[in-house]
Amino acid sequence: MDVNEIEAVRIFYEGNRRELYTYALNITRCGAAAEDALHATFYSLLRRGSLPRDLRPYVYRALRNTAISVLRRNGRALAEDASIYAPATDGDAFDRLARREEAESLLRSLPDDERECIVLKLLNGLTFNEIAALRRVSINTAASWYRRGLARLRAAEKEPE
Amino acid sequence: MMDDLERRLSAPPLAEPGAALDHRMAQLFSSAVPRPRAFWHRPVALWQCLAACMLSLLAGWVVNQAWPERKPAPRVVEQILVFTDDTMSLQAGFGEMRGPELRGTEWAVPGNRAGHRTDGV
Repeated sequence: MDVNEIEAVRIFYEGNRRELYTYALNITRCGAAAEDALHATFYSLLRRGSLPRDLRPYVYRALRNTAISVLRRNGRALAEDASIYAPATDGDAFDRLARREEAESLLRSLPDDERECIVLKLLNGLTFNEIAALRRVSINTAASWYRRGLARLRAAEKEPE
Repeated sequence: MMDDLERRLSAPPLAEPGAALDHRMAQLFSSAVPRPRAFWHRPVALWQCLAACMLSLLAGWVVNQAWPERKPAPRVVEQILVFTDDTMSLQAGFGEMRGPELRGTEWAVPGNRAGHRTDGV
């Protein structure tokens, strides 16, 4: 990898660090493990001979594989259940905290595939095409995970009433 | 079009990675050594390997067709067959027939073209 390619990777990381961290966190549910996965992914990327043709799908796929490896390796040791949302600040703490916890608990109630699809689509801004390529499924499957997940969330919202 | 639920899910700001990760990543990028692009270091796809093999085979076939193998000339048997009945004399050597200068009763006697034996007998 030459200097320009290393710089391109650095710019990509700077622009997507939150989204990538959130995605890793969604898989590992542990802040330290997500950070390890993110670091290991970029370490491997920089050791490659050349830049992949499409950086974004490559990084997401590599990060997913690394996060799953970290999860398998550490297993039960990853007890922390970190949130994918930022903690509420002092300003409008009550409102933000309530919305954050509501969104968090709704997402946690979903099966893994549906939650991952919603996180990728809504929080990371990936298209169904990119999600399908990342998960190696058809676009229809990715779209149906998303729709089914949202339907479950709506049903879960209505349940207490 | 986003509905209300989608908007609520995507509204809260995402979690921020810790300062330790930023420090590690900054170190990682600063210590990344640019490597000169080398052909043998870049990942080569399987189809590229197979294509290279097929091209090599094709090139070998073309070369083989263009320059056919030169076979050595067949060895000529330096041997004279002598028939010495009085009616006909035959000398077989280089496929030629010789006249009555060769006489004898032996088959496949080693000798020279003049009909003299060379095996010391």
